[in-house]
Amino acid sequence: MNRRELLAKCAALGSLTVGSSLSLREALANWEEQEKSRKPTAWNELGPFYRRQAPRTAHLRAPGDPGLPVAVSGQVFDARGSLLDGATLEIWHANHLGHYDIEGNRYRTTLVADHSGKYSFDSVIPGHYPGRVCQHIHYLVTAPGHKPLTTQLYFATDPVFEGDPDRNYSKDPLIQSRDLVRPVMITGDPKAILASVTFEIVLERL
Amino acid sequence: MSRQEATLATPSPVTAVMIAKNASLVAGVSQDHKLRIWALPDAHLLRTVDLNGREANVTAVSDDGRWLLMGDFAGGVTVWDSSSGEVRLEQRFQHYLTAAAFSHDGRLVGIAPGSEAVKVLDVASNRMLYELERTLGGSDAIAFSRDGALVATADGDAVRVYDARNGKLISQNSDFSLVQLTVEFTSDGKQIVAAGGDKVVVFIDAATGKTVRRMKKTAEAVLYLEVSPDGSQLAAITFKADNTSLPAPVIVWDIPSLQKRAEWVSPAGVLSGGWIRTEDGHFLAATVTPDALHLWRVR
Repeated sequence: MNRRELLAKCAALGSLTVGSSLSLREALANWEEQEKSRKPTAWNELGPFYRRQAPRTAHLRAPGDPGLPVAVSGQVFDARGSLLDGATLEIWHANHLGHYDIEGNRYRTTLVADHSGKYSFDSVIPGHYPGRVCQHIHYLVTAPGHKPLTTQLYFATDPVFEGDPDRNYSKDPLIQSRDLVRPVMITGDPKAILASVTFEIVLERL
Repeated sequence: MSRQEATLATPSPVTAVMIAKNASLVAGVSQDHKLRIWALPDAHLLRTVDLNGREANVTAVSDDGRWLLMGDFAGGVTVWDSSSGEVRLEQRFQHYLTAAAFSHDGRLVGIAPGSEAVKVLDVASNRMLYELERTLGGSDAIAFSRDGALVATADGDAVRVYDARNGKLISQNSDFSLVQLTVEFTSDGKQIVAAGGDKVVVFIDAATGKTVRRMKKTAEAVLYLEVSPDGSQLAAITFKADNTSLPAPVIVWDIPSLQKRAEWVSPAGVLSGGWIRTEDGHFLAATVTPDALHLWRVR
């Protein structure tokens, strides 16, 4: 039984009552619409080292790069919960020491979300950039008909959070939303561990 | 070369500095959430304003030192009258400011609240006059021309020039790689100078948006540019991209020849600076130590 059938059954049994101004069909459609809706991803500033037109690659980590390997993936939605295929994601971050490549394109990429709105890339966990509090990855996401989004992804494992990002995320005054601090899953054997992070993007319509 | 102009004792480290171009005052926001205003040149403390726990993200001062602006991380923006300490303008936005600047006559203030379009407000009436275009990535810098006719922004994707009477776009330039962090008008208002992480100062024709001159690459990224009061010199505060707290040069060039006239490496990263409009107009740079704010005359 799907959700709509369940709700229809509830209505039939009297445990769900629909006001006289709405048909059951309209009420169920609106309910589903609201359930699908998503909170737009919080804004974060662009930062000083954005470079336009970085090359397209899903592999930011070159063989032998120092630092903890990380696989980042996610999907791009609109605020109604619909998948946004073809959204462009410009992504850049510092290396494991917290240094940005301002002469070239190391740890910079331009990705396009696939037909399922999915994107992914592999890289290393960035170091702490001096002058900023937390490790972070920059995003600039654009899609036709939607407001461009600049934001940043943070890692729940960042020592700054002392294991409690709920309490400590505001230690970095630029983190305006707890939602931007993402859990990190560690997998692999002790000699080859890999961090994985999921970061979903929700764009507002224009 | 430089000469230490003043040392202002502070009970808490200063995080943001404002220097009035008429050399009347300097103001600093400290980690103890206080705004302190000192009179120049004798450097005596004029006033202390309690910020009620607010942390400064963006600051600006009018040329005559009358208006002091602070944007905090919670999206609050306040303009104080430095002579009385009274609040002149107060607004709150969804996101914190990324840039702010007064027009040279102190009548207007441009502010860039996070992801929103730059807004230009009338300081006296506390009223928004117009918004500039919503841009990709917001704005990192705002500058007005000396005659108040034009306003320029350094945005994520371009440097833009607008008519300051109505906010209508006049020109734009995207002839750079990394985002530009600073914009300034030449004294005649005909050109824009801009720079950033590219380490290349560019001169842009304000009317057409075309790049007219590119300077040789600087050793470090450029944080701030300002043209001298007489229009003959350009000063740059640079920063080390790998560590902003390390010393990096302040450079002064002659504008016509683009020859370097002075270069000074501060003992610590320069927090702020500005040309002083006095008879012997010079560039004043501010550095901080845990217990003091230091002002340096760059020669």
